[in-house]
Amino acid sequence: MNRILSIKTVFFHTINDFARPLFVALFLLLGHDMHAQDQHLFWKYKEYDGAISCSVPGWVLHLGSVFLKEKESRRLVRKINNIKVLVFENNNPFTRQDIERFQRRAKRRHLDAWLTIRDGQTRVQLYGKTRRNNIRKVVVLFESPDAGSGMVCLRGKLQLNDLKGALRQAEKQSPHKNPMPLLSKVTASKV
Amino acid sequence: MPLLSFLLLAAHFQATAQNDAITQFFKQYAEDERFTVVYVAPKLFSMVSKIETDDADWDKMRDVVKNLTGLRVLSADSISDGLSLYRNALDKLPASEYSELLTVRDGNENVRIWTKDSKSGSVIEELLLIVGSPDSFTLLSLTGKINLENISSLSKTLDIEGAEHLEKIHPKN
Repeated sequence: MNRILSIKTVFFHTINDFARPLFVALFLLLGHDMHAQDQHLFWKYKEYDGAISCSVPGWVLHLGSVFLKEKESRRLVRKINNIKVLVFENNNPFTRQDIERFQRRAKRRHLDAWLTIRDGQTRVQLYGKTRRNNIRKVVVLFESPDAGSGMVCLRGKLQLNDLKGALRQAEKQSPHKNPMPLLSKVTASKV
Repeated sequence: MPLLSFLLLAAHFQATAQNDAITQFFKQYAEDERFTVVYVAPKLFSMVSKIETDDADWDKMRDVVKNLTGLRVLSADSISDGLSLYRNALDKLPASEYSELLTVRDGNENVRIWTKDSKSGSVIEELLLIVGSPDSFTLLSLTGKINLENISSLSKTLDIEGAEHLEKIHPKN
């Protein structure tokens, strides 16, 4: 009886010894997989022939922000955790299935379609994820016969107030007379 | 009881079909390269409405925008079958669901604005703008709680061909 008990104890100890790292590895893999669900297009095509891809981590952006002149731009850049850019100059390798898969996964991950514009062969799709009035993620898919195609993915914790500087700059650079009020006066709502 | 269930089911399918008529029209030409397609999701409207300014004009605009739930635009400016598209869109419009607000014919250009009233009747749920001329066509659908008094101010903000016709709307109409 004692011998059976000791075999049982040894067996469960051995299982525990194996199980712990196994569970840790499984969690890590699952975590990576969950992250990759959103980034599927980037990971799939970043090594594609003719692709220009880069992933800039937050700390690099933070360091780079030192060289920015405007305080608001610096503050905005420092709130970005990661930027991924994938550009194809000559062709668009994204298939219809890729886009549909991306849209399915985006929906599952609460990445909402915010804006879609198509003019001739030029197409821009903007997706975003918000949490508690903060913009946590923005994905832009673009396709144009002149400017190429690709995607830009930005992760961070941006508030509408943080976008004020960028919007003001865009307003200054815009060749059109903007009927909107001066965005320099913009302040984020406390709603 | 089975008759009631059948009637309810039939009413549901009819409502769905009516709603789909405009959506189907958009879908039909969504990938057509002659057209410019714009879709703004409700989320973007809700985000924009949270922007506050000192400007009184923007505050007025914010009141309009915060109640909007979607904008779809289908526009083409160098086509040869603008009028047939215009007629086609009008044919597909479920007349029982929408009421005509405005009709303008200026030379070859036809403008029609339709509204879909809410069940309570106090607010407009959808505003549909159809513009057709021999060489151009615009279909604009704006959904949400729409106030006619403020909607004309949107025409200045929307930098879309055909949207300027929204200025023609006056609450007196």
